[in-house]
Amino acid sequence: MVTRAMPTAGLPLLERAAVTALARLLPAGFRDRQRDEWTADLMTLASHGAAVRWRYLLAAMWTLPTLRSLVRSGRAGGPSGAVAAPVALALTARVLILGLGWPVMSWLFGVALRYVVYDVPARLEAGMTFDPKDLWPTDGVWVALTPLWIMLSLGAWAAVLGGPFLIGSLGLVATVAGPLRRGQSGRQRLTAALAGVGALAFVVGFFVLVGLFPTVLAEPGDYLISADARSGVTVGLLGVASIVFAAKARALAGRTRAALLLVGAGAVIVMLAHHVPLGVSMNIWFMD
Amino acid sequence: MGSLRMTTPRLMALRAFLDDPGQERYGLDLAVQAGLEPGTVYPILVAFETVGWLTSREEEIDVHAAGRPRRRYYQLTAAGVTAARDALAAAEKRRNARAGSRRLAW
Repeated sequence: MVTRAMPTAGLPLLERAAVTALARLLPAGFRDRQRDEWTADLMTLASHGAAVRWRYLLAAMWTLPTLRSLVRSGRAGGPSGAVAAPVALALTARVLILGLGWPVMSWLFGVALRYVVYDVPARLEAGMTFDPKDLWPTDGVWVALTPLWIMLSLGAWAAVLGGPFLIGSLGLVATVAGPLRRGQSGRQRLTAALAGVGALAFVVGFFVLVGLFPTVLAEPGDYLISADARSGVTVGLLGVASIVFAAKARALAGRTRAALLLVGAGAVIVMLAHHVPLGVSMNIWFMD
Repeated sequence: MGSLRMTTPRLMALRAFLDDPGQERYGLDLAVQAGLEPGTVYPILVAFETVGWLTSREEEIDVHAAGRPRRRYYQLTAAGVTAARDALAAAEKRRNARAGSRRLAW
């Protein structure tokens, strides 16, 4: 269980313990929020004497079953914004949505959509004079769109090749976007950044090892990469994980779960594209 | 938008919110203004928030500099203002009806 660091030094030990005990009886996604509210109130009441603060705590204890029941029913499907997801859960959701969503959306827009919109098969048959995937405005003010083109290209490559490239995408997002999420303690930000750096280090290590020991590792390394590029297993597994996560993590906000579902469904489509002739043609056209 | 069973503490909280509907309030502040027992206000706030009568946001402070955790500020939504006025009007109507029936009994 991840808990938020908070300054409670001004609160007597016994009162702090009482607040912690009361908070423990609330649903996990709401616990930190309510503990902070009670603690801040008690610290405001510091000058009113211990009797006033204990009366406050008794009143909170008295109404705790109602509060618990309301929070649980709100979570069960009411229009509630009251339940905040635990930080670790929300962080995992963010990494999946951005880290998997980036390659998946890049593939959908940068590969599949362009393949269909530009009718690439017809152009190929007609002896294509230019490749639509090279169409990108770079003149004048359009140069501002270059970062978008780079993002789309890198994301699409990660979706097509899968394996370490997808892990790299998740790692990059965890490193950059993870620590920037609001409402985290310094320790949680550091944990997110370290997890991301760890994933990136794994990917870099994989390629360095293959490069250092080409006679031993090049063949299995290449096999691993090309097998995933053929099957799309990693993107498929991550997509299924994203869908299951959306279904199970009820403490997450509705829109976060919807985003997880969308990204998961998109990832499964990318995986399926590795196994149908049209999808394979799209990928070959993109990589060619 | 949901509806709620109205109790006296809930009506007291709504009356306090309606004193200045645009103002954000934190739990203890509202309890004091409404005349509620501090510590009992959070189930009321969560109930209102759950049906969409209130929105809330976390205070943006450096908790270590402030020396206390962040507070949560609550504010009536447009629907909440309407619902609060309706609930108070309905309560007033019930009270008047009861007073009227007592007069008839006498």
